[in-house]
Amino acid sequence: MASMKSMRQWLALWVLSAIVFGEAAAASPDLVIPKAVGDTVQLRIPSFARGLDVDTLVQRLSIFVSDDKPCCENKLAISGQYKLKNHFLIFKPDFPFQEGQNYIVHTGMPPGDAPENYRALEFTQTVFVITRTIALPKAGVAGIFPSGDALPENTLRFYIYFTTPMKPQVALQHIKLVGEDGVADTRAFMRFKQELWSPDRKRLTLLLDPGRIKRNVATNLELGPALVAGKQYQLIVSSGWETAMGEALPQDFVKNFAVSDALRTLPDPQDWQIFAPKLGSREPLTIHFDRPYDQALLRRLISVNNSDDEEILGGVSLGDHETAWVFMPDQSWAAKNIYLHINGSLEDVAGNNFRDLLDHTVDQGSKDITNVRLPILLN
Amino acid sequence: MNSFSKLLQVLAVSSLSLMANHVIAADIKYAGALEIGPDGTLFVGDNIGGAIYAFTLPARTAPEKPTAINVANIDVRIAEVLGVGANAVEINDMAVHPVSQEVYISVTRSVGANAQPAIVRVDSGGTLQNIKLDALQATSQELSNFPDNSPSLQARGIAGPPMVKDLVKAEMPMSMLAIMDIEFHNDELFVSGISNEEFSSTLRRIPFPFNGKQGETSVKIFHIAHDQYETRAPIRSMLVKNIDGKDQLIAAYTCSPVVLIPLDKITDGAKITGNTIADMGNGQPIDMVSFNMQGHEFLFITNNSRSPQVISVAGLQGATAVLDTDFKRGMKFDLGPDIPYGPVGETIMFTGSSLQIDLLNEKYFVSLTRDTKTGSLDLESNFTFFPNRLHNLIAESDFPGVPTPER
Repeated sequence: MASMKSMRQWLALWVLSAIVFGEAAAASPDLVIPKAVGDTVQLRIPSFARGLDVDTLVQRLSIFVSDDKPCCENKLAISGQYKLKNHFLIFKPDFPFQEGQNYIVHTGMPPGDAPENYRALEFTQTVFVITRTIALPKAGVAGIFPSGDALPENTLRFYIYFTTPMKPQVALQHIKLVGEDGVADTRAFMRFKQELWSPDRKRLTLLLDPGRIKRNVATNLELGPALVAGKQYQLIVSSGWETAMGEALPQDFVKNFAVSDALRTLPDPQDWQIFAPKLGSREPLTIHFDRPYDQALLRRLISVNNSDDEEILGGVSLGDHETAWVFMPDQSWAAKNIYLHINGSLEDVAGNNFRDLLDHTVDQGSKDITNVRLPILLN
Repeated sequence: MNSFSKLLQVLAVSSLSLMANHVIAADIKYAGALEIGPDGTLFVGDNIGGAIYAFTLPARTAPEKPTAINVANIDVRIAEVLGVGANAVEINDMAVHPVSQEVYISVTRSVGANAQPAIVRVDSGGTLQNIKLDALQATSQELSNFPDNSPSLQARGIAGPPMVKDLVKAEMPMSMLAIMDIEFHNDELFVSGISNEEFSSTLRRIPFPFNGKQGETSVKIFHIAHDQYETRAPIRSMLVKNIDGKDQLIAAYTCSPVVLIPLDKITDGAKITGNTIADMGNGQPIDMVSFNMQGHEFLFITNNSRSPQVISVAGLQGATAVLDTDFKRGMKFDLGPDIPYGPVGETIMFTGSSLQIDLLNEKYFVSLTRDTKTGSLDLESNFTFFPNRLHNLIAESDFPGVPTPER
């Protein structure tokens, strides 16, 4: 009989799928749920439904992100691709299922929704989660630059380092500049369509509005400059800001600082003190600056070259709150003549670079400097 | 399955594999600023890879008549479709396809330490669809001179080539350019951006189709409200219009001058001064959208801390450029006599905060709006001539006992 033959075929396929999908148990489950990142969800299609095409069958299988709200009437299903293979409907999400996230698998349709003359697949809800193998770092602020406790009135930029990526687009609800009177200045920072995160999403760049900088002005209505010399301020990253994975910062992170006069002279290596190392040694090459420079730019805009203009490799560390730059060579110093190669885009903490000050009231020309090349003689 | 459908299936599969030979898998690392050309090419700014991608979108038809698209809690809906919690989704930009009138939204999807770019399309029925970027034909243009990741960031070994542990220890590049606005005009792209490290702002001009060439121009402006010359201020939003007989870039800057830059001055390596013709006042412009009303052209400029500005393009004709010599010294505030300055049109009512806006069709804007009452982020369509949702407004006739006015 035809049905006996198809019964045997069905059994064979059933065994085959059990092997193919790695199920150790004797019975193949109707629903295979992911156990690792990259796994798919697989729903066995019973024989009565096997005549149906993929487009009809996909309505029977949906996966949702699970949260504390009831599922799933007002939610959209996770986007992915469906295919039929060996009587399994396989769902592969567009982005892999991730560790530590709860998901809900919906199968079948409630009997009331089934079309006529058609037996509904069983309607089930199954929750799954892929166990975390990588622990998440604890939420926290790792540090803020400029790191000094005295900053100029026209400080342009802060870098805030976090231990883990943070929830985006709420930064300015959780970062405050607070004056001596305890009042938060909510207009101190520039807001762009996109927040200025680093590629690893753990460092936020905050720009103070250059328009809020005090100049020698006849009138100074209401709003005033964001930072005033002689006063004390706090930059506060407040608790409650959630990470991208939903953990809230447990406490406020406070940076206290005093404000000194504005920096309005062009950076110039003539104002630097350079301590040359001894020839043949692995002593560091050290520069003491006349002012704090931008922490991120110091790490990449100064290099050390030999007289053939090849870079001498080594490690850079910053000291004294970004007023010192220390270079430790990988190998001993081999030649007497070395050159400091400084990119003219290097900025101090007020945004002044080698070409021009950040702003000027009168139309001043810029210096035409791409790079500065400073010869240094080893001892 | 009968033999006819089997044949169809075979044909479908073989044509797919033919297409596969022409598909370029996009190596895009970030989906930021969006611009859709008149033929439907989707331009995407990749801040991390430092490039502009051009995707060929499959052809789609326009709706029969101008339709409004409204999706409440769009950020939550996008997160659901992308399979993550709402905290893990950052919306970067939004653009409307000029032919199909569908909305494209670029997103960063964070998962632990990693993030993936995503683009979600909302169709005229309000259905969300994740766009599989690696299934689209794409070309790309790397942006020159950025980031300046000098060799000191590369891994190195103590004696000899770097070993695996040295590669792991190597610093990850931290700098990137946030591409803020991309404007397509006459087979060219104008690109503005701001670095997350050095405070610099180059205006780039790139021909399309990409041929490897690009130009960089430095623009200095006199900023009226700040009372200072700025050589590195970032352009927040821009459009090209024909003003005083030539094509000019209209650029909106922070706090917030309106500057005209003739296209013929935007050449590679040039350091030019833009023509400041107006200042809208304090606050930070977000988007600049061109629309028509009663046969006239207008600009609709949103701002993150004030109501939108509607500027007549005709009013920009013959506008005078100003410099520091035209003003007394001192920062200018909204309450002072100088601000707003120039042909800035009118400030209009807009309920809620628009984070992203574009023209949907001849009747509607579509906006990602933060609702002031509920805090939700909604994709909402508003009439261009009165961009407000009625549910946000209270009128006399909402009170019990007051009759609804007859019309």
